[in-house]
Amino acid sequence: MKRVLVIEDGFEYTETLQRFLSGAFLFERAGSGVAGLARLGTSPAPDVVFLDMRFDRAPAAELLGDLEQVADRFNGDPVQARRFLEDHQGNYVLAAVREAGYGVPVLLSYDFTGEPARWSRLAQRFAPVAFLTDVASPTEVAAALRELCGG
Amino acid sequence: MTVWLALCVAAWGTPDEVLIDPFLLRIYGQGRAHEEAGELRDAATSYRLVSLGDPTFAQAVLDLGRVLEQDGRLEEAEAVYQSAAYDAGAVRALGEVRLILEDGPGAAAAFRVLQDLAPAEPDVLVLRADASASVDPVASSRLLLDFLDRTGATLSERLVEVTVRVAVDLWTLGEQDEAWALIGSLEGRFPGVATGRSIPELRARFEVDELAQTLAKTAEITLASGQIARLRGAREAFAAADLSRAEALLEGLLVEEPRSAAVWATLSDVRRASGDVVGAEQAIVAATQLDPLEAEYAARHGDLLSEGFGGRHDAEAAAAYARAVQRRGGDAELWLRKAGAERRASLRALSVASARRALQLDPEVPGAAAARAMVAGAARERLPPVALPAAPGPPTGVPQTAWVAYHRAWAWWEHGQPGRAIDTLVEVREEAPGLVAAVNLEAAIRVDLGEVAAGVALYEESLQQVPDQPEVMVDLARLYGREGRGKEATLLWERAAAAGSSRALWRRAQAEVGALRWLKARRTLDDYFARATHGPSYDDALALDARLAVRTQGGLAAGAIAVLGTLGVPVWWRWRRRAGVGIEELVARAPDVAPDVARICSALRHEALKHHTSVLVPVADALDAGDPGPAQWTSERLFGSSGALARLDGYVAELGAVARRAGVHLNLRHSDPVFAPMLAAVERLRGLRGALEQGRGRRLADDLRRISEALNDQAYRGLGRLIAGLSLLPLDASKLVQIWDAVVAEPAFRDVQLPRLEVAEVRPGLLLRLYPDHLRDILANLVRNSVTASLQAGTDRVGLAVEVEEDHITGLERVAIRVRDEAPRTVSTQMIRGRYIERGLGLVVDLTSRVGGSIHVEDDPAFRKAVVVRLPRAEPPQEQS
Repeated sequence: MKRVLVIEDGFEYTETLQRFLSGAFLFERAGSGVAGLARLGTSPAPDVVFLDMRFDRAPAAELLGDLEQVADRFNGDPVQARRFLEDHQGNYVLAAVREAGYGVPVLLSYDFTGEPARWSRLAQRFAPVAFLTDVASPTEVAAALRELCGG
Repeated sequence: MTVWLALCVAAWGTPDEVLIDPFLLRIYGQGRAHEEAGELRDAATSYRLVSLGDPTFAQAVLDLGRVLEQDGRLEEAEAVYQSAAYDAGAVRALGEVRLILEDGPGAAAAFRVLQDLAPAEPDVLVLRADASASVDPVASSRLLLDFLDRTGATLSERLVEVTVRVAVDLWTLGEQDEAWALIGSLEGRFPGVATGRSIPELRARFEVDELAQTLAKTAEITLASGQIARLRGAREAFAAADLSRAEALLEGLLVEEPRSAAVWATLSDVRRASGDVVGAEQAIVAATQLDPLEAEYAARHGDLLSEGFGGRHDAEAAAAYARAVQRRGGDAELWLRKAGAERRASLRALSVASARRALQLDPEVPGAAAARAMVAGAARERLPPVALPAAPGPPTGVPQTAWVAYHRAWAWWEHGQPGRAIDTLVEVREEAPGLVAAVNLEAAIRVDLGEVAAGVALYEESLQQVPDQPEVMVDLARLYGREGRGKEATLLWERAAAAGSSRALWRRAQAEVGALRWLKARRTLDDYFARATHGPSYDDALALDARLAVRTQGGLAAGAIAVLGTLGVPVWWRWRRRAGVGIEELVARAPDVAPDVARICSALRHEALKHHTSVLVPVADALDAGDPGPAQWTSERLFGSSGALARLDGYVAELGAVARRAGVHLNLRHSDPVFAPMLAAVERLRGLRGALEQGRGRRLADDLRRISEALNDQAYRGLGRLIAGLSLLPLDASKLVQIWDAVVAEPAFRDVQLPRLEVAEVRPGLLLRLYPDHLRDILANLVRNSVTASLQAGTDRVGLAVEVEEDHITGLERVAIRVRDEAPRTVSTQMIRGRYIERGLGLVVDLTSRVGGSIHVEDDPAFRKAVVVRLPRAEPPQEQS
């Protein structure tokens, strides 16, 4: 069975996927990008990563990304900077995974259908990566995971 | 002759007839007649005869002295007054004539004697001050200050004249603080002098003197360019909150150039930010000394004195603000700060005048309401106390002395001396055994002292004397209760209530409420209010009254509602469905809410619709397969106070709040094409709670599939389109040129040689998530600043360019609009963010922040510098598949 590392700040994805897909995949959870990176460095390595985009429940210390540098985008406002890091934390985790040298396929839970140009840039830069909308059913998730794992 | 004499005496005032010899009295009358006829020497002779005949006749002495003064014989008048040195009037006149003779010390000596003879006349201090002014102005000043402190002090021309003279002498001696203190005290005690002539003229003279001295000490200095750069660096460090670095730079600058007011002023700001109030004040004082004409320094000094010294220097703060408004007389807020300092320094007339001025300049200045209240209050005259009728005398049969003594006993008790109170009461009861109030008072005192048995006995005695005393019954009932005599206590409480004691009635009402006897409680409460007007339980009784009113009217109201509801519901329903707008209309009416609406809709889409509603189809499939588990598990996730539907409700409520703040009635359930079906589907889902929890129900699986279609397909895509379509603005070169044209058409740029505009090519298809007005407000300010700077620097090019920048981590793009020119940099990014800038640029910062953008000042190789606004780039709306 393929191992899926779910990186999310809550437990909803992990619980839903375990409830409906436990017969097809082995699911583990990491509660932050840092924890996810640590898990990727241990064996047996996950076959695929299911990555949430928004981490608005994560403590600030566990968010990846340079808060001060991001604040510069918002006239130095740390509140907006933090919100930006939370809203796009999935991007930061994906970039960190690639920067650390892990080529594991990643399925991002975020709807990029309204941002095709953005998705095109990300897909080129961080392949292999795919996305599913937030409201994908467990069946659709299973199909996407299988396609990323190659079977 | 006798009749004539009597008439003269009546006309001029009656001497002490009882003690004066009739012969002398006749001569006195002759003296008066001579004086009236202008025959001063004859008058003097007559008066002298009278005073020689009766040396105690002080009036004759005074009259003699007066006519001698009128006759120019001042030394003789002095001698005459001296001869009656036992009489206050003569001594006063002695002092006055010595002042005319310019014998200050002699006058002072006389007035000192007068002070002993007439200690209750505070104006003697003014006379003494007048006498010693030329010799010892400091001592005179102390006397005047003492006078101004006295309760009986009154304003007089002499007081003002002496004060002015003494203040001038003090000023000349270099005692300027004493001089200011004297004027301030006079103004504080008699505010009307500030609106007269002498004191304002004196103030003006002193202020001009001081300013002249200060100006003489100043000398204009120019900082070298390197020093200016370091000053700017210090300001940037300050804006970045690096206070220690800022302070180090400034102190280094002051070593090289200690006479720069700007450096001292900046140092004051830095010290203030680091909490060093005294250091800040010292620095701003230096700035004001070096540049006394700079209003801002004076205003800041006023602020420090007002806020940093616990009120000790409010008068000086007021003076600092006064100097500031001389230069910045149109600043309403500054006038209000001045008014506040003057008020705290008890300079009330000045304070009211300053507040009036502030309101004239700006009726809506912050703090205007308080200022208006102060001005209105200053004009109010208090009414005299009401003349109340005298209290009734003692009860019949009670001697007045006993009545007075009874009250004295009461006062002893209030004074904390119960023993003396009781001793007095014992005497009162001996004198007036029928005065039951004395018995009750003694009972209360003894109970207070812990002598309960004695108190009980006294109260019982009181009730035997006068049975109808409801409140005494209550006091005794309480004591019975303390002594464990419950039945007697209860009976006495009832007697007290029946007799009309408000305390007993309240107690009864509470008991009836406790026993659910509502109607009886109502009647008892009515009796209570018929007797009580205040008291410790009055508020509680009002609250109980309100509760009983609700309860007793509840039945009627329920019936009325039932009738009205049947008729009114259809009408209300129709109104409700029509009123209010949807999201698109909300954003059209209040464009500023677009960022908040986008955020909430995005969060709703991402947090409430995903996870929980995306599983409805698999749950339906499981139900069809006979497995209720997923349905039950899903119901836990959906319902409850922290369930997904509660989160959705929260987001909907947040949208409503945003709309209300913008003054728009939002009706998502009926007026919004995306939310209406979504919320209807959510309600159907709520209706399935029971079935989901049970894991069964007819058509449950089919219902879940339909709801999933509504939520996870239509609502999800609809929200996506809604968010994508909010406030999209195409950006091209023509928009930039339009903004430029509008700015250079402004009056400030009429008839000037404008710099040349160079617009770089703009990539096609750029979209911003921004309203046109916001873009115009941001760019117009930056273009205006750039043109102004170019004109001042004499440069002739301004450029506008647009670039796209990508964030390599998130894949998001930003549009960077560069406003470029060749003028030198006067602001930095840090200064902008620290708001060390003019107001227009501050607006730009706020606007860009609101739309998720940023502003920077950067080098520009093609020009010299660029102010760069970066805004999020939007992609064109897509058809959701």
